Amino acid sequence: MTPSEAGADVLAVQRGDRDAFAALVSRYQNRLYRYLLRWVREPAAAEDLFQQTWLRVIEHIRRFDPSRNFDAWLFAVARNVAIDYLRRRRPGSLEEPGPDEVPLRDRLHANNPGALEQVLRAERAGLVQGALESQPALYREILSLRFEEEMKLDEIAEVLSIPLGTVKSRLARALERFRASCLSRRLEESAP
Amino acid sequence: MNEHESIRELLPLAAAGALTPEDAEGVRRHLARCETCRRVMEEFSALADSLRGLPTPRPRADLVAKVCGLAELRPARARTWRDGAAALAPLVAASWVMALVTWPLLKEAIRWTLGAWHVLFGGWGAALVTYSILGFLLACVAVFAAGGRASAIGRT
Repeated sequence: MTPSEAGADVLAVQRGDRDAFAALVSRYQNRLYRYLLRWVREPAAAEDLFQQTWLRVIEHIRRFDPSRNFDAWLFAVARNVAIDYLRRRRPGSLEEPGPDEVPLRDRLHANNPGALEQVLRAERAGLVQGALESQPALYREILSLRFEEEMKLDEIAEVLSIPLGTVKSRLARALERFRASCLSRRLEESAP
Repeated sequence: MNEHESIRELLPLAAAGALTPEDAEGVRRHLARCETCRRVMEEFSALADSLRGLPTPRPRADLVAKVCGLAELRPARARTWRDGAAALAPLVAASWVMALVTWPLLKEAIRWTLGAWHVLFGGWGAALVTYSILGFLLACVAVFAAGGRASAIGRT
């Protein structure tokens, strides 16, 4: 989907076109649901937040500036909905670990270059999925936005409302921790 | 921090395609001569590919249909309130006009039937205000009753 195609639907929704709204939901349904699922990890909660996100879109779409990036706006709306939910349900789950807070066990395993490549070839999807879900919420989010949503760094900065430099440092920490977690899981599984 | 360490820190961002062209060139030159960093870089690249290749979870079809239906309700509800607000202004005006027109008749009726009871209202002026407010409240009740009926029709 090109930005102009989404933009035409957004303009139509702003004029009250219900068919355009359905088209917009249809366009973004998988991406938005996946993003919310990465946040809360529970399908039932993600479904509830999916609905709440679109309700907020309906409420605020008239105030959206069509010259802006709709993807970034939509994901920022979803992000706020998810954060509100997590603040209510699991206070503390939104804290970002410091740069040295990779678990020691994972740090030790991470100093073994080459082993992870074998891991990924063997059991890629299941292990990667599990390792992703074990990451802190803010790391799951940034990994999903960059690699699943394939957003540019400046788009991510817009969604997260943080400077570009912070996006880069968070992304680097998230990948380091994710790598260590993948390797640790694989070694645990292969242990007798 | 020596070159090896500083390049090692850039490897996650290199795998994420998030380096400046200058840093990317520095990483490329270092990897050409550093076996350790090259292997770590291959791991990060494989991880990035794995993340890109994760299966996409999909929402239930009935959930999507339900969300699409949200737009059916919202404009209908908004239109009802706009209609109610538009209807309120002429009805309020009409209630005031009716209060002023009927006031002499009511005043005579009170005088003949209740004698000096108007004093209980604080005088004729206060009685007129009370009468007008009652008319306004009745107009509001009529508007909201009509709005509720229109809303029910809009949902069907």
